[in-house]
Amino acid sequence: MGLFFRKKRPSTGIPAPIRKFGDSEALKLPSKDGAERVITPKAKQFKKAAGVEGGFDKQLKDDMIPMPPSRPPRAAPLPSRPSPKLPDLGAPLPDMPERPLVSVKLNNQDGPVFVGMENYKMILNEIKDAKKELNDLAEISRNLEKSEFSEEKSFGDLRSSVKSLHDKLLSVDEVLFKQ
Amino acid sequence: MMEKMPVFVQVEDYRDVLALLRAIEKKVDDAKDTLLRINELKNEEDELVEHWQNGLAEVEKKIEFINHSLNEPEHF
Repeated sequence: MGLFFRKKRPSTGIPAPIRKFGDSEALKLPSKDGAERVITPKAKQFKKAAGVEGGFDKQLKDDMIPMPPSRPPRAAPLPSRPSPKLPDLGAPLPDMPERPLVSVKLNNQDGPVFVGMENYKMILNEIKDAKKELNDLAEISRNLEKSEFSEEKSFGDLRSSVKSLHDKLLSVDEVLFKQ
Repeated sequence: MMEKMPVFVQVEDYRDVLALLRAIEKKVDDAKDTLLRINELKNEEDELVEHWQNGLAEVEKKIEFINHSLNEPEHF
């Protein structure tokens, strides 16, 4: 027995293939009437098997998590707005302190919204401070109104004084140069 | 374990709050613009008041000169 000779296998009962290598005869599939069952699924069956009976678009939409278009994703930083141009009033405005971002939990598009407890307390404190600042600003505004009223009155007095001065100067001029 | 769990507070009318915040931001921007305009007007007013002050000082000097001329004519 050489290297190029195979050992003869015992017969297993499986019939030998009909087609042999080099056979020029065309391949023939069994007909429908034959004993073998041919499955020809339709498109609907394919979709059912794939679990997309309502169509791929509908399934994709169902799989997607609905997010509101105007709301940022959860725990994402708010979009940065362009900083407004501040008036130059002499003193620079104090910088805002570093604060953690508010974590917002969205259940779904129309469901309830949750804010972290710490952030909620922080927001309440900020609102309280803002109200205090607004009260101070209202007081300053009232003082400014009083000041403006006093200024108007002072301007009126100045105007009448200058008019009186002008009249008297005209009288002096008349007395000195027309006699 | 439970102590480290985050506690959330439900916020109703979340979108209304966001809209209100945007409106407040717009109002703050408007207030800044108004303050800027007031500052410009105040600068103009200060400039005019200074002009008034200079003019009044000139008038005072002239009156003093006239007064001096009339009271002590021998110096002229």
